[in-house]
Amino acid sequence: MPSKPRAYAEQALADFRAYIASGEADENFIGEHHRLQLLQMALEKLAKAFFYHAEPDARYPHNVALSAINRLRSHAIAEAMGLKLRSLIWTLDSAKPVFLQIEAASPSVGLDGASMQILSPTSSTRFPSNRGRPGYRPIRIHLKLDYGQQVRSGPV
Amino acid sequence: MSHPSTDLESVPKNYGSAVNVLAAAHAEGLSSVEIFHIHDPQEKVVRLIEVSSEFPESSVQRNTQSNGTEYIVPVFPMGPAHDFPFRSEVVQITQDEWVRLRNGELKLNKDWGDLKSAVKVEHA
Repeated sequence: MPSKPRAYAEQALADFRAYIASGEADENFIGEHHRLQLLQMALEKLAKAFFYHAEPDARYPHNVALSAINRLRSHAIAEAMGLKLRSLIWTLDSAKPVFLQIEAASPSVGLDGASMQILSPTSSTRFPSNRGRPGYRPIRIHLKLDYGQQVRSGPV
Repeated sequence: MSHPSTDLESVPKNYGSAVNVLAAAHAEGLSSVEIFHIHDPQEKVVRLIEVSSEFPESSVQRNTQSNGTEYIVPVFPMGPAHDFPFRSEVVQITQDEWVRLRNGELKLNKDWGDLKSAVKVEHA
């Protein structure tokens, strides 16, 4: 993997690990808004790692989750994940609302309107001060970056 | 005009069926998408242009060597897999971007030749 996409992938993993660590702490040493910002940054950098592979000199916007999801329908990616293509498509379609909510949770990044339309009327991911309320469930997402099993790609 | 292969699980045995399998996979679940194919004379790379109002704009700014900027549409390359033994290159664009690409107002970051030679792929 070229250095720029790899750098973004590494930072995505670092942001995600910080998000996980902040949720496992006994005390809330950072607020829920900050935790969601970490999650959004992890998502954005992971998507950009994929995008910079295609065009390293481009200037991509912050809201890239939808574009990335749409482009991941690939036999090579499914193979790298140990899935068949149809299973990968199902997985991506299932994850799309979650990714868009993470993106929408960051007011300076999310597509106000388009992203927010998929939220349930009672949810409050943009200003998510729901910790401790009935029905609150922390987000748990497993992010795996395995450089030992890279997606084979064509020349860039 | 290409004709569809409806079985996403089958391994395409030739270039034509590879075009149809990838187009069907990329169309699945989208309410409206037009898919066009740019033929690779060597029949090694499946090149698809996917046009849908469900896609966000794809064109992005890129720095030029003369310290300027230009707008390009990135082509996303993928390698072969065991169940898809062809390389692929895909762009996903809006209808407006498709018009501008054909007019020459926009360009891809790879040379695919004349985009007016694109053939629509019918998908299930």
